[in-house]
Amino acid sequence: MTERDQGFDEFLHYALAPPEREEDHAFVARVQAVARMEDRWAAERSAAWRRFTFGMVAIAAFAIGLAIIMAAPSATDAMTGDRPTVLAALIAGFGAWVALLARDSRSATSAGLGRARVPRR
Amino acid sequence: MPERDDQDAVLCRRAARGDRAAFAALVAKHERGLRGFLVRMGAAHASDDIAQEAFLKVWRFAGQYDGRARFATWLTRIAWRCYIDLARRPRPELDAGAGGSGGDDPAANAVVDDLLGRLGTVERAALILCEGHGWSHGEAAEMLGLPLGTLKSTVARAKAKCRAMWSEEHD
Repeated sequence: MTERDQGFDEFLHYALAPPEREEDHAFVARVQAVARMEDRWAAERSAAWRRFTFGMVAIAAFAIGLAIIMAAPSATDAMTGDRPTVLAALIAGFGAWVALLARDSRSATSAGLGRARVPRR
Repeated sequence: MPERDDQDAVLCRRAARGDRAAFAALVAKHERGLRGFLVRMGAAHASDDIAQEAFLKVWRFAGQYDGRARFATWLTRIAWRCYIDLARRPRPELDAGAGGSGGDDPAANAVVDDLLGRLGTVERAALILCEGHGWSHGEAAEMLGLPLGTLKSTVARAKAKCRAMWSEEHD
């Protein structure tokens, strides 16, 4: 290796080395803040999906019950006739749906979630 | 060559269990090297965003780190994929090709940025990792997802190009 090659190697190593400095606390804080927000969003998404699924099940139960009642010869048959279980399912579905709606509004109010912005350096 | 990182594996396992302090320790320890690499790669304006994205992936998928490679190797590989994804999009901050000013010496920065700017993306990355950051060829190959032989020839080619350009300017 010539002296010039050696000089080049030394230059390259020096110039490409990572900068010598203390750790960047602001960057660490920024990454941590974003990670916290990601966790919150993930929890919020998960809760929203759960609410949606339960809501759909409740609505489906309600709709099926309603369809069966509509198919009955008369409303009196549905109430007093040979379909007491359908009526029970209908009432239960409706109750679950109302309960879910109530829980949704309560959790949305208490969580007060919104996408906070992370300050950038 | 960077020091061994058994401690990193422990921190990563703790981060996988949701330990934010362990995650912060990993970020604090590795941000300088990773951001230095990304800045030199020409992502001066996007380097912090890419590094942040890489660290977030570490936070999300810390449980997938199996400890076979160094933590820094795994992290750099994640960041490299983020960089490549970004480079595929038409983003002006990555289109210039030249490196960013990563070091402390403005004169050396100007020269090395000029040299790096004339290299291809993979050549630049391989040269920075092996010649500047002190990674072995094997580790750099793993980081960049290249076969070892390809990595070695890429580094040799990049270095030869830089040496030729450097010699021209110093004659």
